[in-house]
Amino acid sequence: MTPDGTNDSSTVVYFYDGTLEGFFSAVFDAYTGKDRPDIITVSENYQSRIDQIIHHVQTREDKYERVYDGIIKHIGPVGYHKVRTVFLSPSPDKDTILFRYLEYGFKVGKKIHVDISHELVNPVERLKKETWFEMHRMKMFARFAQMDNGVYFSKINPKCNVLPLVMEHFARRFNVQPFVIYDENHRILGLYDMKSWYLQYVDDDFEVPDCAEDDLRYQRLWKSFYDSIAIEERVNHDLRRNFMPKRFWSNLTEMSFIDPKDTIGHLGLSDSSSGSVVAHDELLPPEQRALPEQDASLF
Amino acid sequence: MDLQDKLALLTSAAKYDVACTSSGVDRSAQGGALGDAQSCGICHSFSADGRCIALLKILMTNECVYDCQYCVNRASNEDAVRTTLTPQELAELTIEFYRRNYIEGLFLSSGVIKCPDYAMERMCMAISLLRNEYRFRGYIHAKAIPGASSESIDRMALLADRMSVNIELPSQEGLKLLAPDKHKHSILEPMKHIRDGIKENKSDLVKYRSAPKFSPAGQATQMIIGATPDTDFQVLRLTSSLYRSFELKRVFFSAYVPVSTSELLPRNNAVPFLREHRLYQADWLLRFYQFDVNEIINESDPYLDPYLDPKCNWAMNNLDRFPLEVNKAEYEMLLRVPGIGVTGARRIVRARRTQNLTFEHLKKLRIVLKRAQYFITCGGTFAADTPFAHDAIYEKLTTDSSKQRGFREVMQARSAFEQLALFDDTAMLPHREDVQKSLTGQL
Ligand code: SF4
Repeated sequence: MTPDGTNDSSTVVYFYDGTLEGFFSAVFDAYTGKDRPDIITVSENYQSRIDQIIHHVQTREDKYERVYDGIIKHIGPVGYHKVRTVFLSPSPDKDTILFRYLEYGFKVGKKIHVDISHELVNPVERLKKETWFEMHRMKMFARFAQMDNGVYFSKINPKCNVLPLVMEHFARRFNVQPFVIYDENHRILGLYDMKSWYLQYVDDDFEVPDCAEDDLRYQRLWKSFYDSIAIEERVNHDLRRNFMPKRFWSNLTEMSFIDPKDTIGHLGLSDSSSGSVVAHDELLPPEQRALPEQDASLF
Repeated sequence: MDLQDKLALLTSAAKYDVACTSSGVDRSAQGGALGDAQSCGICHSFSADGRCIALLKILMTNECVYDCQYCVNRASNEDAVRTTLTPQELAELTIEFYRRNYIEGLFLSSGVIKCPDYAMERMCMAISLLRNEYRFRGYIHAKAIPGASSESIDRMALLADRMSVNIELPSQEGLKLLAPDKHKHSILEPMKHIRDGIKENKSDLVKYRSAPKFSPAGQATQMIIGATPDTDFQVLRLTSSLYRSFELKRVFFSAYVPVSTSELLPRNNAVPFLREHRLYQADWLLRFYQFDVNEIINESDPYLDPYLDPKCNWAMNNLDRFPLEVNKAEYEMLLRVPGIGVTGARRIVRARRTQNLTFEHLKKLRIVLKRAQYFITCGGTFAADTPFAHDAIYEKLTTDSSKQRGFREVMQARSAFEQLALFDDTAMLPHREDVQKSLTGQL
C-alpha cells in the first residue's frame, strides 16, 4: 500500500483535529483495536474517497498521556522532542510519517536515533532539521518593539508552526518582560505575562499595534549600528541573502528601509502589514536616513 | 555628541575586529534576571558584507594614546573625531538592544584612553553595571588591553565570559614597526595571566561549585594578515603554538583593510581575503582534524596554495596513502579525506558497523562526494571519472571557477606587498611557477 493510498481499495484514513493531543490520540487508537491507519491527517486538508475506511479520532487527555509515556519509555525524551518538532512542520504527510516512525521506534527502541538512513527514520530526521532550522531562525530574527503599555511586541512569519518552541525560548530568556509574538503566517499570538505563556488564535480584524514613541529611538540606534558595522570593502549581497533570506526582511528592523531599487516587492509588504514595528526611516531627517547600499561591484 | 553619532563612530572603529561569535558558554536563564547564554551561539543579523552580527561590537572610546599604524584610532591620526561612551550609556545600549532581540550580548574593546589600566577600569565599570545592576546574563566578550596589570585583568575576567588579548601581528619585527607601543611582553603577559587564571579557577570550581567563574568561555586572540610581510608559515606556526602553550579557544585572522595612509603600510586597495580564508581552513585542520602544523606548511614553501585548500593540498602531497577504502579506513584517516568532515567521518564509522557501505549509502549519509570521490573507494570501487593519478586529480580539483576568482585576489594582495617600499626584498613573496602560468591562462 502506498503512503498516499492511491492504489488500494481499503485504505484506512484517520482524521484528527490537528492538535498534538489529537495526534497522540490517533496513535493510541491505532494500538487499541482499530484498523491500522495508512494515512493520518487533519480532515480539513484532505479529500477522502468513497472506498476509504474513515475513522474520526476523538481527542482525549488520557490517550495523549498513555502515548506520551510510551514515547518516553521507548525512544526517550530525545524522541519525544523530535516528534514534537516534526509535528510543527507544514508537510501534509507529516502525521503519517510520524506514525510510522513511532511504530518503528516502539519496536526497536532508542536504536532509532542512530539509524538515520533507515527509510522510516530518514524523513523524520529531514523534517526535524527543517523545522528546527526555521525555529532557530525565529530565535535569530524575531525583533521586539516596546508598546506604550510596556509590553514588547514582535511579528514573525515562519514557514513552520514553530511558535510554541519559540515561546519557550523567549519565555526563559526574557522572563523579566511581558511580551507578545504574533505569527502572521499561522495567525497565532503567543503571550507571555511574566509567569507563563499561552497561545491564542487571532480574529480577522486583528491589527498589529503601534510601538511606543520611545522605541523609535532604539530602532534608529540599531539601524545606525547595523549600517556602521559593515565593511565596505567586503560588501557581498549574495552572502547576506544566503544567511538572511529576503522573506524575513519585512520583519527585521534593520532591513525595513533600504534602497527601493533593491526591494520593490519588499517595500510593498512592509507598507501594508508591518505597521509601526518597522520602517521608521522616513521619520528621520534626510541626512540620517540609510544610505543606498554599496554597489556589489566594489568587491 | 549625541548617542546616535557616538554609536556610529565607535562601531565603525570596532568593525574590523573579527571575533563576533557568542559561543562557548552555557548560562541558563534565571527567574528575575534578563537573558541567558547558549554555547552554540545565536546570530541575530547579517551585515551588508555577509558577516554575522551576534554581539554589540563597539569601542568604549576611540581616544587612544598608542600609535598603531594600521588603526584609524592611532594617536597620530589628526583627522579622527574622538568620543567616549560613559559606562551608563554603554550598559543601557546593551540592555535595550538585548531586550529587543537585536543581539546576544556585548563585545567590548577600547582605545587606550590615558593608560591601559584606566581604560580597563572604564570597561570594567560598564560590564559590572551590566552584571550587577541590570543582572544581565547574556554573553560578554571583553578585550584586555596590552600592558594592563594583572589586577585589572582579574577583575575583567570575573565579569566577562570570554577574554581576548590581540596578538595583532605575527612577528616581533612587525610589532616594533607598526605598533611601537605594544611589545611581545605586554601582550603575552596578560595572555599567560588569563590562562593561569582559567586553570586555577577550574580546580576551584571542582572544590566549591559557587566559586566565581573566570573567563568561562576561554580566551581568544586575533592577528592582522597582510599588513606585514610575514608568511603563512610564520602565522600558522605561531597559531599552533598559541593553541598549545596558551590554550586559546580561537585564533582569529583579519585580512588587513587599508584604513590608514601610513607610509609604513601597503597602499593598494586589495585585501587578502583568500589568504585569510586559507588560513582559517588551515586553522580548522589544526583544531579539529588532528593535523600538525608541519603537515600543512613548511619553511621552504611558506605560503598556502591559492588553488587548493590545505586539506586537498595535503592529500595531493600524500597520494600514496590514498585511495582509502571507506569500509576499512581508520577514523583518523577518514578525517583526512578532502570533503569528509568530522560529522561525516563519525557517520561513516557508525553506519559501517551494520553494513558494507556503497556510494549510495554515502549519499544517504549526506557525505558530499564532490572532492571525496578522488580519494576513496567503496568496496574496492573507485567512482571518479578520472584515473587515480596526481595530475588528473589536480586538474579536476582546480578547474572550479571560484578558484580562479580567488586567485585574482591573491595576486592583488601580492602586488600590495610589492608596493610596500619598505620591504623590497621580493624574495619573501610567494613565487610559484603556476602563479605565472595561470596569469597567462595555461593552468
Ligand atoms: S591601541 Fe592601537 S589598535 Fe588599539 S585603538 Fe589604539 S591605536 Fe588602535
